[in-house]
Amino acid sequence: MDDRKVVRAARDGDEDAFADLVRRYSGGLHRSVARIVLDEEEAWDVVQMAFVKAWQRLDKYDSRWSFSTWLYRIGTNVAIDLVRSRASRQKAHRAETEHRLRLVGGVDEASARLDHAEVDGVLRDLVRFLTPQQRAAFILREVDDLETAEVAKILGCSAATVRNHIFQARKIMRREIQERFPEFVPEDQRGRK
Amino acid sequence: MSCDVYRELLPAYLDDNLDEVRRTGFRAHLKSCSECRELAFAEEPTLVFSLSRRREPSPERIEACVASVVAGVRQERLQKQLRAPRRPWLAAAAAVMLAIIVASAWWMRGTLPGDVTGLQADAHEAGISIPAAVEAIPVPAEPPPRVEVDMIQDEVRVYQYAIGDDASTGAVFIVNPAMEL
Ligand SMILES: [Zn+2]
Repeated sequence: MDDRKVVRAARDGDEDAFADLVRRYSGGLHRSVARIVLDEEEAWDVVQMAFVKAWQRLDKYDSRWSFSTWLYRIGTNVAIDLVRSRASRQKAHRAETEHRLRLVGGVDEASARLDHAEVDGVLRDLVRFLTPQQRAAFILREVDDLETAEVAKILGCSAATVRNHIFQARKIMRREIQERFPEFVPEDQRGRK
Repeated sequence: MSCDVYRELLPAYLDDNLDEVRRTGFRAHLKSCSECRELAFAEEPTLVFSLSRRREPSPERIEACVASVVAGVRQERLQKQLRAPRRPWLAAAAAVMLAIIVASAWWMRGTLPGDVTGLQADAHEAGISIPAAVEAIPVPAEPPPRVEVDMIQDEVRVYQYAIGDDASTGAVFIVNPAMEL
């Protein structure tokens, strides 16, 4: 059954239909959200909250949007709010403490650097230097490979703003990579900003 | 396409100027070609994050998520029902009827039932459902119960005290104002 039919059934109060939507999208949403909030378990809380909010607002859902875009918008907003509230509490969150990651291999060992867990760890380390909006834009576009127009819809901004967030995100992360993980940068380029 | 072509696409990729087809081709090529990948990483180290593999959560984790969401949705439904458009006078009438039923049950049996099923049966006979019976404690037959009906915001509460003002032995019924009579 396609999303729209399932959404319509859910809107008519069919809990099983809604559970189906959770099965379809919770994994993907969790992956994105976890990279924004930097905590796997909290990311599940965000996902659950996003779905319950989606249920509450199903009657306002505009079927010209794809359900996943609409859901990501809700989920990303919850995630961004969480990151902001953490920052405003100035609370040293356990997920925001620095990982001391050792990257195997030098510049030539590209396959080693594609080691999934390590790359993920480094990404976590670097993402915390970004604003919530920059995090979300970079992760949705560059890591999850959503189209710019969709990311713009999710974040409620223009495509140009998404590009700018990503540009800034790259700049900040490049700087941090050079400082923290110089092994990532070719020798002749180290120190270049 | 040859490696040279892909290498020329890098600046356009970084400026987000590739259409989705070429963009997908570019990312796929970087995943499969270590030479181009090296060159691209040297130019833009953050590209390493664009190629990280997707990790799928376990089916059990997904089902746990489904279960919590469904629980959340049910709670939300219940709250919505309680917030539904109300007819307080109907609820008040229901509460008074309930009080009468309870009082007559009291007189007939001499005790307040230890569980609420008897009450619910009585209420059912009178065409009323009792959505929530919070507490019911057996009490001595005498003296007769004192019944108070209280409206707190949208909720109608029926308090039934066993002896005078002793609130520790008694029963409280909360009548859902949204219920259909
Ligand atoms: Zn190549």
